[in-house]
Amino acid sequence: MAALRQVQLQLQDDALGSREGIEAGVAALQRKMDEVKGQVYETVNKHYREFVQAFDYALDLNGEVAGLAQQLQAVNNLANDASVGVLNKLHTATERHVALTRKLKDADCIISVLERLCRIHDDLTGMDGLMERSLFPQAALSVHRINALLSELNPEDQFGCDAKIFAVIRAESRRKRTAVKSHLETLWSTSVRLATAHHAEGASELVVVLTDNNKPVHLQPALQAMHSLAMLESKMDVFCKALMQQFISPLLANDTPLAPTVTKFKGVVSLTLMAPRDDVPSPAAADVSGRLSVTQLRLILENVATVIEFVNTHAFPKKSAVLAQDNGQDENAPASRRRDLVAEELDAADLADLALLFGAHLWPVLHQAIINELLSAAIPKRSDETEVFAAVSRLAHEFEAKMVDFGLLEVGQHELLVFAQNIHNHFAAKKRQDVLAAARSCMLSEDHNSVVCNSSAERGGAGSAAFPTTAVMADAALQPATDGSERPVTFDFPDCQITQRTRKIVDMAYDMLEEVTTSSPAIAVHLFVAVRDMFDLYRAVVPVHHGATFERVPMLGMLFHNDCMFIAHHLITLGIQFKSRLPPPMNATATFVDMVVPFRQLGERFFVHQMDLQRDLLIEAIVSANGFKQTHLPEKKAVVEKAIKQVLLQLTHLSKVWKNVLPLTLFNQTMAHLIEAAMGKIISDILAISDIGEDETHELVGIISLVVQRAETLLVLDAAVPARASTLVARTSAPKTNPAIRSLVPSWSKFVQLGEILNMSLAEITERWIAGTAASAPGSVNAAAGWLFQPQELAHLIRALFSDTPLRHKTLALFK
Amino acid sequence: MAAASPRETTFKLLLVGESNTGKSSLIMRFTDNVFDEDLSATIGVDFKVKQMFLNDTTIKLTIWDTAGQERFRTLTSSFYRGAHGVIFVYDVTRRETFDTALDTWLTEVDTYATNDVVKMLIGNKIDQTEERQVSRAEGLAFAQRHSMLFIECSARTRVGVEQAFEELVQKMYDTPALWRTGPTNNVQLGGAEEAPALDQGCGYC
Repeated sequence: MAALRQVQLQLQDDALGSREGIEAGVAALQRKMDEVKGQVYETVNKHYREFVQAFDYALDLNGEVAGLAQQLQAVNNLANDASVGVLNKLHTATERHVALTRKLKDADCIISVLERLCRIHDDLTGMDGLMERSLFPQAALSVHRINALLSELNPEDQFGCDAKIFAVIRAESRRKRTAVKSHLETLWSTSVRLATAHHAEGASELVVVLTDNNKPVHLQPALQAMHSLAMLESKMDVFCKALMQQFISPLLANDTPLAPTVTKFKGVVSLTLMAPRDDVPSPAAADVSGRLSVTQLRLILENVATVIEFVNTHAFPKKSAVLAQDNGQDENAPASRRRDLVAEELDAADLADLALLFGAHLWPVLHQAIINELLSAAIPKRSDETEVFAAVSRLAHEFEAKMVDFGLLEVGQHELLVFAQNIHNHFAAKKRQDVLAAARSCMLSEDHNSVVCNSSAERGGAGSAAFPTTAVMADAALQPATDGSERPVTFDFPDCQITQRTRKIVDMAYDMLEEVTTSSPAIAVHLFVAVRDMFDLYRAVVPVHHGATFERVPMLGMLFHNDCMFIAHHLITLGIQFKSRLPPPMNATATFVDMVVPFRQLGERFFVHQMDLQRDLLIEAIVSANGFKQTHLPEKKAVVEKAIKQVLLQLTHLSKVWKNVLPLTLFNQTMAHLIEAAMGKIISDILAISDIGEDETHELVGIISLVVQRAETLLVLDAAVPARASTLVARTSAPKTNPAIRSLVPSWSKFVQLGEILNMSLAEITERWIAGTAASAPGSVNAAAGWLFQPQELAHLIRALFSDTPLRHKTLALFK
Repeated sequence: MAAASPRETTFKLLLVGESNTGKSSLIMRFTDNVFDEDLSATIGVDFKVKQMFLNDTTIKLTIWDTAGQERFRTLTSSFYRGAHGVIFVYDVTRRETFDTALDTWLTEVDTYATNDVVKMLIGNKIDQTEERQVSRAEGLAFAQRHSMLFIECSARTRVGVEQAFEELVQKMYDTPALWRTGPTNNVQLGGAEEAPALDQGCGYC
């Protein structure tokens, strides 16, 4: 490089010298040219003659100038020649420089490859030693290093090195890696074993070997190495599964009393799961209610913690514990050993936290299992067991704190605690589910048995003890009865029958509400809503499931009507009965009154359907006789009698099945309604006959008296009711007829009167008519005379009953 | 003379009687040949179908079961309408199901059913010999008094069940009035008139 620089400088000097010569020449030339110019001017100015001489002279001068120009050219060429040479030299120098650089790089490459090969060699040869000294993490590091180094070596960069060398090195490194891995695997499988214990039937055993043939087993370094070689994850997965299956699940299942015991024998620690000795009280013995008690829960959680602690201590300790242990060893260990243990590449930051890793594998499964098997089972059956809620919550917290202590969990992981703190909600959800399921199965039962509902004993009535005596109610109760009779209390439910199923549902609702009053507000809302849901469920399930039966069977239809009214009755007062005792916000908002109307409508729907159905059947039976004419013919008489019998049979049956089911007042109204329908139809059918012979009259009178006689027995009437102002009809009819019937069945009197008219002679009718009209003001003829038939109807009857005589003519004229 | 073409007819059969006399059990035994000790009470009306063959006629029996318990009864004329035969069932181990109860049932049947309906009296539960309260002679006397067919049987042991139904079907088959008036009868009139001629020997009504 120095030589090159000298050449350059020389060349620069040369170029500088020649330029000075040129400049001098140019200056001289300038001067000469000025002189020549002056002479030319002088000559031209002096004489032409002298011109030629001067011209010649000038030519000479020209020649001289040409010479000078040549000189100048020469100088120029000289200068050009000098710069080209410099450039060439420069070029050569650069090429030489590039070549040298490349060589240098090659040399560097070769050196680095060789260096790496050396290091690989060192690692490969050193690995066996590391393994022998149980320095597994360092061995693992070597493996990683070799891999990294080998991957850096690009086969194309091998500069003549024999490719075979690399192939051999790679093969060797693979072999070593496999050897390390298999060694670690063997170490793992021999030192940590999960098995079925041979000395106890069915018991599980977890064995951790600490020393093998008096040599300590270096499980920790091995595990660290396994982690760094990415082998630990899968091993830990398998281990956790087995641990769950063999230890934790049996403990959680709690069907056989098990307790973990730790034994240490000749460098082997083992954890065995077996039944405790007889003197230890069995946790299952405390289980009476079928629910997990808090004591049991604590015991089980302690057992699970023991198992985890064992694994934690002997297999997967937390990082801080390992470091502390290492430091403790360091103080006693010689300096060389200390360097071995914590080799310079292996600093604390590289150590994996095995406990945390173990936790990450086990915890998701474990906490789910604990929640599903233990905490769910520990959910109390009644909301007033508040100490259970607190205890479960505390136990969950303690368990999780222990897990954090073991290093399995990070601070702040609270799955169990979150569940336990939500146990109120879980309880409420479970309770709600249970109650609705129980209510539903009760609703679906085919048991249609009924119970008598007694108004005086029924809750929710104004007289019942459960009903709070508010000012309004007290007023109502204190008001003297104005009509002398006992005043019916508005909120009383009449005596009747309801189904057992409905009674049970209402009882359940009361029980639930009682429980709500003693519950914490969080639970109370859920339980209160569950009660409302139960009534909604009733309305949705019962009419659908039993609807066809209720429509078909008269008694069941009416029972369902009662059921609906019974529920509606309780819904009215349930809110008032419990409101003051319910926790907020229900003490202000709780009500069931909104459900009253749908229940009433439902009951009425079935009631009306049943009434329509029965009325249609009665009418159908009467229609089947095809009118009442010609009853004197035996065949026709049989048909009519059959129709009337059907009507009476049906009414008798309904009276029998409804008598004790429906409230008395409603029963009488119901039966009266049906009797009215039947009597109305018979009256109109008889009035439709255009000609009634004497024999037919007897038959018809017979039918009418049969119906009257039987219909009277169908109603349940209070005999003590005093007879009201007697009328003509009351006087003339059978004295024992209860007047209440006449008000209940509007057609009754007319029906009876029809029988009387059929029995009367024309003269009797005329006489009664005249007597009636005389006693009353015109315009109110019918009522005053006790005639329940319109004049036209009477006229028609007279025409049908009596043959055309002058007397009939005269009588008919009266009705015009 | 025998009709070559297969004929088919439907008979409607009713079972009445007090509760727990075994009406549903008799039907179950006859149609499905099973016996259930814990059969629940019939509610309203139930019915089953059974096919039988008599001579060259296929007979489809629709057997209507009623609730014996008064509270579960549905009293409708449609139940009796078009019935060809009625079976009155009583329990030989309980006299109350025989004495007054049968009269009540007879009244009801007479009120609703057509006059020529074939009636049969069945005394059930004869397997319980120890508890028997109604003798065979009493049953037979009642049946004769009311011109009914009579048979004693046991739904539990199957004794007499099939004979009862077969005898009743035969009787219905032999009563031509039923054939013509039966609303569900799908035999053509000509064929119906032929039938009794075929079985003249068997008719004993």
